Amino acid sequence: MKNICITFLILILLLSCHKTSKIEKIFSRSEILMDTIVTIKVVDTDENHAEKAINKVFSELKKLEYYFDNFDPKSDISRINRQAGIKAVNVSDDTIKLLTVARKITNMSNGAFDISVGVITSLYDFHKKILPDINKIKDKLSYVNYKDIIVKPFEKTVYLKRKGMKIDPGGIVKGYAADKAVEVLMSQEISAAIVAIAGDIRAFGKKPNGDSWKVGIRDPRSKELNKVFAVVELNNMAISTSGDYERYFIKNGVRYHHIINPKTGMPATKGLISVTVIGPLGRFTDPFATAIFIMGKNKGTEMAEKAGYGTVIVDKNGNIFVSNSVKDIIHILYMPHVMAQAK
Amino acid sequence: MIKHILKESTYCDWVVLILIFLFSIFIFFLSSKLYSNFDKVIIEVEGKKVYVLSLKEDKKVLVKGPLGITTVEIKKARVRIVDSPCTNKICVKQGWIKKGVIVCIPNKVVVKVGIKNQKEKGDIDAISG
Repeated sequence: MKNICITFLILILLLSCHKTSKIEKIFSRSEILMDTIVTIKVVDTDENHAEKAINKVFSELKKLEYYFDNFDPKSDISRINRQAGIKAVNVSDDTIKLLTVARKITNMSNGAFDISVGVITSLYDFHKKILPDINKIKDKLSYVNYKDIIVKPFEKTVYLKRKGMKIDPGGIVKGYAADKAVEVLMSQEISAAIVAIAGDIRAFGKKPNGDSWKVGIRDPRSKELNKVFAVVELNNMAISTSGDYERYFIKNGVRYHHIINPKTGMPATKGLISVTVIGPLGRFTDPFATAIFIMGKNKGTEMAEKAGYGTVIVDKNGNIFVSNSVKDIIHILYMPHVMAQAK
Repeated sequence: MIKHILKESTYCDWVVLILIFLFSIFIFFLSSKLYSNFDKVIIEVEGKKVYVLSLKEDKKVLVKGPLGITTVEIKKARVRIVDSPCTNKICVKQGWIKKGVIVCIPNKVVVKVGIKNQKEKGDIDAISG
């Protein structure tokens, strides 16, 4: 009995010693920014240090929102669109970087991702369930051409060559912002964190228990927003998902969704309902997800794999396709039930 | 029997018993803290907690956001946004929930129900899609 007693007391002593050492915890905050919920989870031993880092990230994201919000007339994007065909506009470094990456993705995707599609996307209203007039779409298609976006990095100016052109950076902004958030956290000596800007997520480091960050991929046909059909173990990577369920309406049995093909002006029809891209940078995963949705499974996956990015694709029959590079980090929970709504 | 145990027990036995008792109390408080939010409705505006309400108590509360007043109703252990100054009323259309989150992005109002304080091991950290 005495031995047990001594062992127990030693155990208590060890536990109390452990408590005095610094324990890593997750500190989390969510705010509504960029028309969505932004959640930042930071691993740290010191709450004040974590809070300070999170504050810096939100300041940075508010700055980006100010540059890229095309509903704010003072934003860089609004000013560029207003001066289309008139004159070049002075913009921030971030706007130059964003447009430079966007152009790179346009080239890689052979025009499937093209931010000059703004002139078409602005015709759609998914809340009012109004499909734009087909002739109007045809008229505006000639204004979609990324080559007419003139970016001058040294002069820090952007010029849209034709009056009536509009850029819509919605397909890349959140991924770019996730990258910037991670840069800020790393500069603040944070060892591990996950940044989720809606479905565009980037993570680095490990959780306090040594596990990888776990990101669920939303079931594209479940009415429950939190239902996931697969889980990804994210190690120092970004993940983005595009689907036909985010903004859509069904008219005459046809699903009209928000992923618009820049070449037709109509919602993409390659038989996919959800495309997830996983890889090093959010500014690539985000536009790649859109581009692959438009390009289709084979061409899209080939483009992504060539650039070092993996994919998880769900087609209209509920089949799941996982590319080789990410097979080891994906856990498929079930096949989404799609038949009832897969139009 | 009890007298025999009391007679035979040493000082160390009592120390062990007291420590086990204290440890049980600690576990009880820890678990109640972990699961305390299961029956709570948390309302946040612009990232700041403005209400923590019981899901068991029927109530209507008015929450002031940047666009105006959002009305949140708790009834029969469910929650909904009854009215909102936003244009598309997506939050209102979401209807009643028993668990989860209702978000009004334009008025920056978030209503959380049954969200745990701390994620358990193996839980998902974020959702893409």
